Amino acid sequence: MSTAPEALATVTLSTQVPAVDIRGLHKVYGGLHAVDGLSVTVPQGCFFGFLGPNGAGKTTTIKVLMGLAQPDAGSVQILGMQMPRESLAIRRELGLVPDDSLLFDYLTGAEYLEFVARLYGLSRSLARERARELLDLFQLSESPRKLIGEYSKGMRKRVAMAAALIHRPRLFLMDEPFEGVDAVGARLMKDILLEQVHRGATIFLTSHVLEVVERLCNHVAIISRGKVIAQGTITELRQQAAQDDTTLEDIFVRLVGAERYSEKLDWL
Amino acid sequence: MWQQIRAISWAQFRSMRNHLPRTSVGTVLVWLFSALWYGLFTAAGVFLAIEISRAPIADLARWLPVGFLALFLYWQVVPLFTLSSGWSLQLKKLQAYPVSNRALFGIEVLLRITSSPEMILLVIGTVAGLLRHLVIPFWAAWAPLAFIPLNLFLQLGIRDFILHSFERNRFREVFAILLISIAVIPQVLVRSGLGPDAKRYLFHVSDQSAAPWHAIAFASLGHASALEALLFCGWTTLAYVFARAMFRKSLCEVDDFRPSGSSARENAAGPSRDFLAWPSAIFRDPLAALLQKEFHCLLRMPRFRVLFGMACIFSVVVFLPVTLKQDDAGAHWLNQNFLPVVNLYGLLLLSDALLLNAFGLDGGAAQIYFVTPVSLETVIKAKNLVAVAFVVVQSVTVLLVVTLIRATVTPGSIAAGLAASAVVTVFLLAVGNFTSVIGPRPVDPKQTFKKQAGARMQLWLLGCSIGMFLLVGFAFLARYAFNSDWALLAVLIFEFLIGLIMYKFATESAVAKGMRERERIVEALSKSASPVSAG
Repeated sequence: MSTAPEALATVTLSTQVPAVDIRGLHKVYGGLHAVDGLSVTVPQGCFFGFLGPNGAGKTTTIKVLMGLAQPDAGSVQILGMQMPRESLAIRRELGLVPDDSLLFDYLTGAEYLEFVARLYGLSRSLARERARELLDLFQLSESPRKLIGEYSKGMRKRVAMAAALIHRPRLFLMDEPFEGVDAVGARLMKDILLEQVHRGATIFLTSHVLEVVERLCNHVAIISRGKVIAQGTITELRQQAAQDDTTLEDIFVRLVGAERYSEKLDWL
Repeated sequence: MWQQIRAISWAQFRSMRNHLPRTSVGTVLVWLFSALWYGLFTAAGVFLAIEISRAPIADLARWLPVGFLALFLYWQVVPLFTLSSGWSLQLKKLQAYPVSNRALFGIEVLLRITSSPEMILLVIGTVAGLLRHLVIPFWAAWAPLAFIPLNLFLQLGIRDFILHSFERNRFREVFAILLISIAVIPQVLVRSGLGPDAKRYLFHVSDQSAAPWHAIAFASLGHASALEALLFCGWTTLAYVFARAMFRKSLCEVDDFRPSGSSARENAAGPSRDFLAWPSAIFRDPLAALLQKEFHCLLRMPRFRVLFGMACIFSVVVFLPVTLKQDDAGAHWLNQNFLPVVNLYGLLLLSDALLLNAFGLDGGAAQIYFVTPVSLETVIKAKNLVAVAFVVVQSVTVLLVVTLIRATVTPGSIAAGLAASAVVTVFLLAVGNFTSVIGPRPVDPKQTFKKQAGARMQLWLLGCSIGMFLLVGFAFLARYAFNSDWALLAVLIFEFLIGLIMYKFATESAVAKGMRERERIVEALSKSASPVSAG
């Protein structure tokens, strides 16, 4: 079921309003610019990889998109709606996999999914039905009485992913969604995400595993110190790097200016 | 080992120092209160130093064993009563590093000092007094210091033993409540006819030459025999072995997710789940979903279960001894107003978890309220409704318990009890909605024993207790002035109406502030701790 990004790239991206349109975003924490004039446009129906080294401003940007952080300057439009003015309407369209902190340890997987579905306005019966189906799909239905607190890390990721899917959102915001998930689970999640893109949903994903991004994403932006330093398709990035056969990892390392550690610490 | 101890102490010092610039007014006030409290004990230590230095040896021989016994009891029992275990190591974090168990044990024993530092002050006062005494040999005056390790070892052992019992026992909540109720025994002895007997018994116990307090008292006077000294060393070794064994157990049991016994699994499916679905029959989503989630989670959280059990049972037990002495005016008043007093005390016990820090038990997961299409007002409303439901169940349970033990229950006292609860609840909800937003603090739902309220929260609790006292006191004053229960009820109804208005405004501003400062709230609720945690 996996689809190569090149194939995905041929899927006509929506010419409607962009899924995410960030312009001149600034976010300052205690005098430090976490995000410094960031501008990114993500077309609808796009599998978008948002990359950057640690502390580059990825999580802050996602927080702003989720409505958790208030921008200090700049504008954010999501699916044509202005943030934070239409925050409630925007939240209805979002599917979130931030990290496992959205989970309630003292609910079972089924209860949690039903709870989230009902917060998104699904009827109780539909919520229950979808929760059951998603638990089956993510292979979490074997231990229905198990509380989320007893789940392994991979199971927690899977249940978070299921919760993000339950209301059929138009835009997914995902922070390291495959972290801690085994190969089978990761494959399943990737397939589901690609299918979501095919039905027209947009995925905004951050990941440090660049091979995954290279395989899945048709658009990528690389940020460093709160600013976008490169964006486009993987092919366009390769062209920018003037090397056709280079990997995303090489492009990334070159752009963010990393040095070889062995040259710095000779004792290591 | 000492290098590691130094490293952990340094990390803790840095954590505290880095926290200092963020110190709030609340923290400063709590420090001031602590200074006052420990100042009183310092004064008591000075008093001991003066009095002991000029006391005749015969008096010292009579009173020192009793004093050391009292010290011993305070040291071991009071932390149970106050749910305070002092500072303790975050074993979960430290175990990952190559720190020897011996070093961890050493630090943990030293940290026990923080659970009853007032006793150290008294021991120092005693030593100072003995040193200044003209008859007592210089070397003997230092003997009370040997009492400190014995108590620290024993306290660590008892604390860890209790924690293990709480974690493993299927009925840990019942066990916890019973254990905490032990603290009421001294009150029962004092207030009941057993008092004089108890005093005699206390002297008898303190006079047992095999007991550690007797040995230390006589060693302090330079009179201890070799056998007594040997016995004391034996007691200390026993306490050490006990503490080591319990600590070793703690190391093995770190970081397991332990839902509330078997019940969590039972709750996860079956009839109880259907029973807890009742909000869906009355309310619409998302309120119903939020209510259902709150009931499911709270009833499975060990910490909440213990607090709720305490509010229902311990609140009765703690006041019962006071009513035993009928000739006392205070006891007579308490007898007449037993139900309202017990209800309000129970409410205060519940307030930290349910009212004043409503998002605390959710921890970082509370961010779901800000990222899903549900208004913060609905979330707060749901939390408030659940709190009211639990307060109602607590009031009814208390009424049943009080009826069962045949305390004075009249229709008037029932009405007064419920009305007083309603008034205080509405005010606490108003204040709580605000404090939940301005000072959210993550609470570990697994932790049944440790006190987890921060400095600011403790201050709010104190303020609420005073406010509660004033509110209800005013109503009782009206009853006294007009000699009528109706006057009491009228004042309570009036206060309730004012409370409703206050609730409305407080909730509105809490919602506005919560939305404005959502990032800070989520960040505060997701915080992780330093190497040492206060309990």
